[in-house]
Amino acid sequence: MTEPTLILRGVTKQFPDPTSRHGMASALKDLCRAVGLSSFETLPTTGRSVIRSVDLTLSSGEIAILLGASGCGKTSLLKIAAGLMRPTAGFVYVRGAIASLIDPRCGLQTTLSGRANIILRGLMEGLPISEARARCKRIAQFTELDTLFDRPVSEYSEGILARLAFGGMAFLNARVLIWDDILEKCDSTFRQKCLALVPTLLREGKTILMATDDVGKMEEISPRAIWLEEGRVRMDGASRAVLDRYLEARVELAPIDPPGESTGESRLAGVELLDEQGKPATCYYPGDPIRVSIELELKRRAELPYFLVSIAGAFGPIAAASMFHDGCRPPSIEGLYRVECTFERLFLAPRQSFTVRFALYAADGTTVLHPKRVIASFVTGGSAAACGFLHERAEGRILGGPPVLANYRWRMPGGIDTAWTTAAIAFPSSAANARDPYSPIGLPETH
Amino acid sequence: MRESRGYGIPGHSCSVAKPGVSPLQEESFSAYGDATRYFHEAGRMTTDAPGPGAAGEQNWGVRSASEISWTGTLGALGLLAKGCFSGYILRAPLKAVFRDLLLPAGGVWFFTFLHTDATARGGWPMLAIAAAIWLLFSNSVRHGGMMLWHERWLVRDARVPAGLLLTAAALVPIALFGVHISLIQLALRTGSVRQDGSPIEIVLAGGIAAATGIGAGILAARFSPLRPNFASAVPKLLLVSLVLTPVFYRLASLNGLGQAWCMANPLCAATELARAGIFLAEDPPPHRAQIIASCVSAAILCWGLFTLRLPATAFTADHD
Repeated sequence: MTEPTLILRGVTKQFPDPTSRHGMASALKDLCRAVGLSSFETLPTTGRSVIRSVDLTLSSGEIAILLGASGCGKTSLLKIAAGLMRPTAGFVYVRGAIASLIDPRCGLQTTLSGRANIILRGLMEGLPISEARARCKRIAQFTELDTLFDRPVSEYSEGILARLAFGGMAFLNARVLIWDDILEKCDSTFRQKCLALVPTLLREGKTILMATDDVGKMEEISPRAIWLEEGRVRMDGASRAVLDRYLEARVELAPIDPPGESTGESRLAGVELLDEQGKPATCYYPGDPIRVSIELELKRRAELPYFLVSIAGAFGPIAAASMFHDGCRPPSIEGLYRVECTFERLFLAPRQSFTVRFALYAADGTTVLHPKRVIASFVTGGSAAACGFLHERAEGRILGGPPVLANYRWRMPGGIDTAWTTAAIAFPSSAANARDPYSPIGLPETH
Repeated sequence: MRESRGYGIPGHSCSVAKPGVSPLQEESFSAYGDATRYFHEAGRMTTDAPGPGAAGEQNWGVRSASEISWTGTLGALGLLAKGCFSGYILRAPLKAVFRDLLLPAGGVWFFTFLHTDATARGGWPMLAIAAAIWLLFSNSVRHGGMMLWHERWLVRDARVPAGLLLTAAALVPIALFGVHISLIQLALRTGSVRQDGSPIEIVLAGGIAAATGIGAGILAARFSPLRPNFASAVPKLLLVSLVLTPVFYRLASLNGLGQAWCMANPLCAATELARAGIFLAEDPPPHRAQIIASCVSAAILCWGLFTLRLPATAFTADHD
């Protein structure tokens, strides 16, 4: 039986209420704490909870991936596990040296070269200097830093810094690796190389706790996934089971503004996502029309406003209905105003998260009448197989793949000529493939 | 090599099975036996925690539990010192020469040229040695203690102890002071003025200035994360300290008030002591003032070093 190397018990983190941290009294209190005149034991008991009583055990050679919506506490939990953040309550036990890739600047002296920093880390992790130098060669080879390896770290870009930090984390003496997937944003090519290294690291007996938004490869990387929701462990288990629950088809609406509490020019009085029949939608399948119904309460009359409704996937907006494009604008709006926008024939990939955003601008196109905000989110239903993607890896890869499905054709030597079309999609509520060719809506010009 | 560590606060929900030890601790200890070497409770070492490394570790910034050899520690110290020198001198040598040699030398020459009784009584060596002492203090703050702020990302990683970085950083102001003193000695030897004071007094004065500077620098570094503008205000505060220190004037010119100030500001005693280290004719500050200055500087240094054992200041905010 492998020995546990990372244990978290009852870990809780509360950030102090920011409004309580203003004023001279707070400044004096901070000063006294900083210079040791006041106790540090008065941890915040009120404020925003980001981690709530998390229990977690990882053994040698084991990997677990944290997943959850943005702001659910993944990075905070990693920071606590790595010793970079103090928990408000709870206990963290680590057996062996620990290394983290959460902020690549951590543990690097900016004026030293990458090589010197790696040697320094190696020495601090208990490696003899000869061994630390030898590891440097391996790291230089893996990270492909070339001449940059001997340049001061302060000259590195964020991506290069992340490469160095990963090399220092993976190839030195640490047994527990805390890995936030920052490479996904700053160096996606190198990230593939790092992910391919994971099985080797696990064979060496290292323990990996990783957070990523890339659910597509999760199942291939890790057999275990932990779903965090609002700082709590919602589910901890096999990646497939956790993903099935996490990506369960659903529709969620953002809370509307309570009456009288709007600070801007308008108040979001109601929002609905509707299905084809105009009933509140419970699930969308690829090709289903997405009808967004928004009810606004305006403080004053607005002439020729611009409405903007967009749908965004994990990588950003994918479709927008914008009056800046089509020029269709109501002559004026005032009081309680209801607007509906329908996205037709949008073949969204199954089991992916999407958000619906809304904004309202005045006639000048710049004055904000309602700030851009997420008004609803949904996870599409279906599966890769139901879309006609039958490869064994399709179910996993479609999760982190492009958010929109489009017709395509392969032509290769040897007479290979195959095509995938949206007609292959077979979902219960999707009649897209049976629908008549789409005829554009004639947008009336109102001015 | 087996090493391990734990950190955290046993949850409020844990019932205490025996005084001072929560069931969680017992579970951990029983599960890992003697491997449990570092255990923290509510930011402090619990007195009940067993393990050979227990008593020596009370810091939230969890230090590396690896057993680092002396050669490893010295190697790390060497690398950190190289980094500190690189950051200050090697990466911009011309700037360093201007800032630490030409500018002070020009200042000494200018005020000596003015040759007023208040600024240059006793000639340029009096001004130069006092300036060297103040520069040692200033460099100890900016490049000694404040290095904990400049290299906060390095220290944030638990593997590099703050004390090791501080030791390396302290070498920079001390080395610069050595250069300044050497240049003053060289100028004295080539000129007509002969030094007849005791170098021990200069070393003692340097010790007072360095200890005060490093201690104050650590405290400034501790406060900087809480008020980010504070770090940029430190050079201005140091200029204020230049006015409050008898570099361009003599303590004797302040009469009774000067004597009282000498008691409060250790740099006053240090500059006067260093002047006496150049010329015997110069009256050193009273012994009582020297003792008080030494005690105050030691207290400031100890206070700074004490704060290294407290949780990192960033933990109080935890917003970054």
